[in-house]
Amino acid sequence: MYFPTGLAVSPGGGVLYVANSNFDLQYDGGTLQAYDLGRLRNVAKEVADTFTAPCETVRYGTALRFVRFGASCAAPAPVFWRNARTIGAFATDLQVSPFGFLGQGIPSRRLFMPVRGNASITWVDVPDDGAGAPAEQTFGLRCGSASEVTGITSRGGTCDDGHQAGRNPDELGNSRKITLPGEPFGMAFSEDGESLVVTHQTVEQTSLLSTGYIKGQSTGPIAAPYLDFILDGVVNGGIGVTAIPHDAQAFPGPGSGTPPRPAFLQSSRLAPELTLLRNYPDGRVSADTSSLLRPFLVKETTFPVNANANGTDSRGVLIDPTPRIVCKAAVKPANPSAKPPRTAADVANDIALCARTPARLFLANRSPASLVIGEVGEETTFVDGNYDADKVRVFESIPLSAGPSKLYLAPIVDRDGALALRLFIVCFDAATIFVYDPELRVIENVIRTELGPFAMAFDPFNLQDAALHAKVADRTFDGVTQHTFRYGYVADFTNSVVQVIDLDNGRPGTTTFERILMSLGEPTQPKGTN
Amino acid sequence: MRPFTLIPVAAAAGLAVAVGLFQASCSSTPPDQPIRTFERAQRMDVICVDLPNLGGRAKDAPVVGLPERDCAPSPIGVNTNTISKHLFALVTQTARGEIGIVDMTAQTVVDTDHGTPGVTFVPVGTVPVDITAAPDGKMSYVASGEPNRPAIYGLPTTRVLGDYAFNGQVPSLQTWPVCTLPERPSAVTTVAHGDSYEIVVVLGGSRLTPGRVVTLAKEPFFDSSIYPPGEPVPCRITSELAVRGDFAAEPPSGPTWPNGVPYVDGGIDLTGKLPPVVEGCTNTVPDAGAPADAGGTTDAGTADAASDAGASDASSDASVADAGERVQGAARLTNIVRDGHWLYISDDTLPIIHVLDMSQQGAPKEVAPLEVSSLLDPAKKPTVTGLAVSPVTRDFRRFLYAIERREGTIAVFDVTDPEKGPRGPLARPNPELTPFQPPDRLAFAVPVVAVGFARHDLPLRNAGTPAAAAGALCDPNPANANTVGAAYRNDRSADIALGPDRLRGVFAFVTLSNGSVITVDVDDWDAPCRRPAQLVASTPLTSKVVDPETKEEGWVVGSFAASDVSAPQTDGSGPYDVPNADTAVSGEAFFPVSAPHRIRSKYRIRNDADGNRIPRVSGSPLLFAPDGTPQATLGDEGAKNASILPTYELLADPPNAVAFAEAPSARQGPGIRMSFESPDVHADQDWNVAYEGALPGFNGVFTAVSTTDNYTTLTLSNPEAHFCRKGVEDAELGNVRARAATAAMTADKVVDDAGKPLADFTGRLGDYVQLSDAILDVSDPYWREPNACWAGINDPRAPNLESNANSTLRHDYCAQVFGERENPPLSRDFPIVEAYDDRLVLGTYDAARHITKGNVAALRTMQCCFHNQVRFGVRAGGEWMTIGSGAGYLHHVVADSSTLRCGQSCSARESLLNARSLPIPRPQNPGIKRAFFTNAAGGLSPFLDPQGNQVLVPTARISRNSALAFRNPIFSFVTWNGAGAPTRDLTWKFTTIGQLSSQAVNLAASSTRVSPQSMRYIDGFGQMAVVDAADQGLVLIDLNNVTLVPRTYY
Repeated sequence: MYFPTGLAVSPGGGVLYVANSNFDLQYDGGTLQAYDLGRLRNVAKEVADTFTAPCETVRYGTALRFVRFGASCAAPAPVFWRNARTIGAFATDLQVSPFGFLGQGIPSRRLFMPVRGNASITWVDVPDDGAGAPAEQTFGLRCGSASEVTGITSRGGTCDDGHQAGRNPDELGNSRKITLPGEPFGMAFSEDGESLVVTHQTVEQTSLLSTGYIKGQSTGPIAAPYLDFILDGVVNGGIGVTAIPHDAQAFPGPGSGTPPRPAFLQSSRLAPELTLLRNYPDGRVSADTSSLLRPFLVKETTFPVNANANGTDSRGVLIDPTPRIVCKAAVKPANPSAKPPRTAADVANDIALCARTPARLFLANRSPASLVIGEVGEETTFVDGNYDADKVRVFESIPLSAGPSKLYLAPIVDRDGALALRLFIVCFDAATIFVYDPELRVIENVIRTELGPFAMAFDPFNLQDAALHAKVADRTFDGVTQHTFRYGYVADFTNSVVQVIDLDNGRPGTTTFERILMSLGEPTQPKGTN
Repeated sequence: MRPFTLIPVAAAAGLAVAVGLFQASCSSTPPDQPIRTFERAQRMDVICVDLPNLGGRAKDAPVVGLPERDCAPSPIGVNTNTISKHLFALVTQTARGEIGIVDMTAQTVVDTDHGTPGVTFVPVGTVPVDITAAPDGKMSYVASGEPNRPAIYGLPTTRVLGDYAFNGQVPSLQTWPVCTLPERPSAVTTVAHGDSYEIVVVLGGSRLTPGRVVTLAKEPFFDSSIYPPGEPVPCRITSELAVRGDFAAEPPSGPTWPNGVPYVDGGIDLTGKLPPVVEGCTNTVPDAGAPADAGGTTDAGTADAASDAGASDASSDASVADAGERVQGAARLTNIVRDGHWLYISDDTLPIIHVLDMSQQGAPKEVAPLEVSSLLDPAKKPTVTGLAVSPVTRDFRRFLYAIERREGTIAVFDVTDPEKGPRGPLARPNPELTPFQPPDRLAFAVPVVAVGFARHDLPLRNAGTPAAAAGALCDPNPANANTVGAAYRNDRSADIALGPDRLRGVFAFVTLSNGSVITVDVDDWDAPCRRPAQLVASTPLTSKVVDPETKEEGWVVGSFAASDVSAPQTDGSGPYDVPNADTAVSGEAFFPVSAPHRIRSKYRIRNDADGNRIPRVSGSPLLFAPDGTPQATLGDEGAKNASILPTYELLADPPNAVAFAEAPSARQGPGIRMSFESPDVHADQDWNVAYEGALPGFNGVFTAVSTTDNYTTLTLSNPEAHFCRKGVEDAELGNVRARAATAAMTADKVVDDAGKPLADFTGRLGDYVQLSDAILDVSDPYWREPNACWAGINDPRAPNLESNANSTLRHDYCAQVFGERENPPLSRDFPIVEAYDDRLVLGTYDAARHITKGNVAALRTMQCCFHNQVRFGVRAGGEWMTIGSGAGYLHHVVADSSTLRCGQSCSARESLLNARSLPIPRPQNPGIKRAFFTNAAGGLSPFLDPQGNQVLVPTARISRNSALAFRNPIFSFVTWNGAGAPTRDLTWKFTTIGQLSSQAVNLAASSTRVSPQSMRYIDGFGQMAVVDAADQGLVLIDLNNVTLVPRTYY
């Protein structure tokens, strides 16, 4: 592990993927690593059970010895490491595709990483352990490495050029013969999974890539990703980006029922605004578009960030659509015997209104350090065709410690053993993670981490379950059945470790809830540090 | 630093300078990087402490907590060691779980542990959410939201200062009596009962439990056998109240608040006269924001007197919330504010404010809640966060300001009678005149984060009157030389002159998210003297008369209307009954300048030695040709060009009392007429009035091109475009305007010698699309693809386009027809025959620029040449378009809820949101008549302008409410034609200045790292304290001069 910048958990929860940036260029490239998350979870449980004991007394099996570092115990990373590939230097993010497909005969997903060092979106196909991929291939990484001739589970090797979308203007599908601008940083999938929007830190451009996936058609192998379009004229300093959730049920009735074209919100380091980007898939969605089938991206408008003193230097942006889920779950069914009778039309109207409930918008802003809160989607109190699903407004600012950057939405296990959503705000400079309860709208806790927290990942969850406070089911990892345990994982850039946070408040008498349990790897100071 | 070692501030400053010089001589100056000890400060309260070893107290004297009122500020230059009673602020530090302490008397941050490097604060539980000091000052209570251990910590005043107090002991977490709560608290306060008090804790609620209020006795916090220090035990709850979870299905709105004008007619037009609502207007939701008295459709509106006098009588209009159908929900409580034994608690999920009667100790009782309704959308369920209750006003009223969470605005409630008063938020008087503001909210440029009130006065010294006491209302009547209020007039000497810097009365202070703290007038005791010297009638010309001497026909100007305040004041001695107050008043341009619940102006709104603050046009409007070339506006050459002239009103505009004589044939310079109803609509900005100007907001809008009627029309569709919100008006709306203009030309005498209107706009008005895409390059494969539209174009210049896919004919033909986008030919113009929110239906223009349908070839060509997808701009067809650099394009076009057709809103409140005007032909021979007014003898005298000239009135005159005029909330004018019709993009440019600058203190003046959280008025100090969670810490505002106190604590 070396200056980790990206974390992702496999859909089945068995693998923790770590993107290492090789920030000081000590090695010949960055890496993508696969760790045994099942084992790590079991070790973390052991640590939680003996949290107050000295590290030296904590054992997992016979081989694992812990050492004390700071406030937590650290375990050697090699014990959990299973696979790796070399990628370019300065990866900035790591995300798993939201869709599955059949790759080399097994259920697969695709990992995407913006890599600043070679201005590419590097992609790697991995087995989908949540969709029945063979257990022996769980830790496989498939990105054209020469060593893959012996199987995708082979360790080591370098991802080939074909897995670095945007570098080759002649790559298949790149009809405009373009290459990815420099300094790719943030990325977001479109809701349908077909497109990927990438921000660039130092140019006034945003890129649109095809992921290779075609919604409703990709039951078998899918094409390689390729660069589709480069949008000029966006504000310099693009950094965070997220897809705006469009609920199809918000558009009922004959002649409609079609949600808007995919849209994205992009944050900026330099301007106090959010940019609304619209993806025109052109021909993929309907015939009522151009006769030219060339997807493109449009800067539709900007929204001011005026809920704090300055509004510039925004970083992570995230949209939470769960208020719509909660609202729909509370809609009463039709009841002809009620007075007045409740009809199916009444139900449909209520569902549509719920689908129009504004989604929560969260924005990490550094000037001043704050969580800016707003809404996406126009608030309406009746259903008509005049609804703006992409309207944005910000109205609240919650102070944070220095250097807020990325935002994550994930559930904890609440006192009653049910899931409850929380927003995790990573403050890089302050080595702090704020835990925000979006329902109560309060900061629930403040977690101190090792230096330079950069990215987070969480045990797999279903947003619907989290929104509706589903009880946590037992899960089995590495042969051990666990009840109501949930963890979060923090990649600490400066000290090159991953820390594990206990997110389970359902255990009676717990003392470790929302605390750092352990570190994966021994924290290492950057070279040259005194 | 201990208090007994304190040195005077001035001396400390000198020492700092000396040290600085010494350091500078030895090495390079280190960067000025102050060490900040505050971290995420959020809430604060104050305690007064009598300290040992100070002010003559013995070293072994005890530390004694006292009520806040016992502490007074130390005079400048006084050694604070000579004062034993110091005021301390206790500030929550939410990132570290501590309470920061500031000695406000000694002006220093308190270090409670001198044995530890740096400044040590007081530790409490993780996530301290609120703090309150007991009324007697002996204990402070901190509510902690620590996960799995929510608690109340008691901080005895005797221990809280640690070793900052002489011989004090350093406190730790084990020092405090603490009790645990069943769940997370969100707020805490105390309620006094005689000499005792009880602690009120708000348990916010969660998905598992609804919000509720519990009370705790104070005694266990003083008894270590009950709450042993450092050993949390469950709190002994003396009462528990599950607050109601219901709210009104149809929430009530409150009455209008007073507009501050104690006149029927004070020379201003607040009668609600508005331009006529267009025929066939469009309703989207039940009319929003138009109180019944707004009227607005005709010149007959006279409701303002009624709204002034009666509507503020809250108790007479109370509508108790229990009256209608109610909906059930679960309460989630957030903030609390106390007013005597009444508590108001905000709810995060329900559109109500809980009202609790705490008069019986241990037995809280909830009465009907305040309902947070919204006139803009009555179906909305707004929730509020921050709350503040005003001190009692001069007329014995109290107001509750509630911050609406999602809008960041303030709803105003009248809580004079908390139990039986009106339950809904008060509404703004004359909302049509301030359409930039919600009708029942105070809105600001950025969201509000905190609000506080102060009742502040500046009793006069040596004012020359024996009774210049506090709380006196300024008396503007020069005839009343010896009244108490006369001492506060403009022509009397005072420490602070009559004007915005003199805060006398009740004021709200609103902290915005950007760090600005804005003053809002609530009850300004100087308001009667903040007015124009002369208040004469705005009554328009009434009827034709004949001058008995000259036998000349003329018009009668209205006369001053008496006060409506009360009958006794009509004898001329009342403070309001002063048509000419001369120098007794501030001589400002508006009346009222200081109105209830209005942002306070930073300046006197007048033209004086300090500058001209009157809203006006900077310079004369300039005319530019489409290529940017300046055009003549004066003289014979100017007469050939279009002109822009003020609308006609024989109206005594407050600042100048000049009766403009706008006559279309007069060769006067261009100009516009400013509006003087409300100062807060004015904002400095540049204005462009362009003929057939472009509507903003069409960049980035791509539309699919299709036809539904075989090319009789062409449809541009894009569901995300929201064309109505962009203000698109189609040909049908254009015809509505044309019919109204025809009628107005007859009424306003814009006719020829035969009495026929000079123009007929029918079929010529309405917006049109101007294609902005370039034709694809000739090499693009598109030209070789099949497209059905190629068939049927049948242009002899390009035969057989359908079958000519392999040549350059298609491209060349399209390039010929549509030219270059940089220099667009008229062939790129397509009139919008029908506008919907998601699509535009296009026709074509004929040779005479009339709108037509059925030009199949032209529409096929357009679809084909732009490959069924096109970008475009939209221009106002046949109209002038007025766009402000700040206000933008003002319109009130809305989408019909069922058809999505774009139409004009029916809301009278929005009727002044306009941007369009028509090119009016000049009458050739307008008549001129004289104006008279009724003199004291009942006869007629010539009406003279300030220069003594007889005012002449043209026969043809266009008032601002005419369909021929342009009027928005800020100004009005008429766009007259020159020798011919104007050309596209012929543009008038002018700049309006003299905006209302709010009286504000900027916390972000030196750093943008500002995140204000809460505020509190410190009565004894006359200072407003603002807690900032970023770099500023604790900031104080001195209300004696409305400036930041130089010392900031962090």
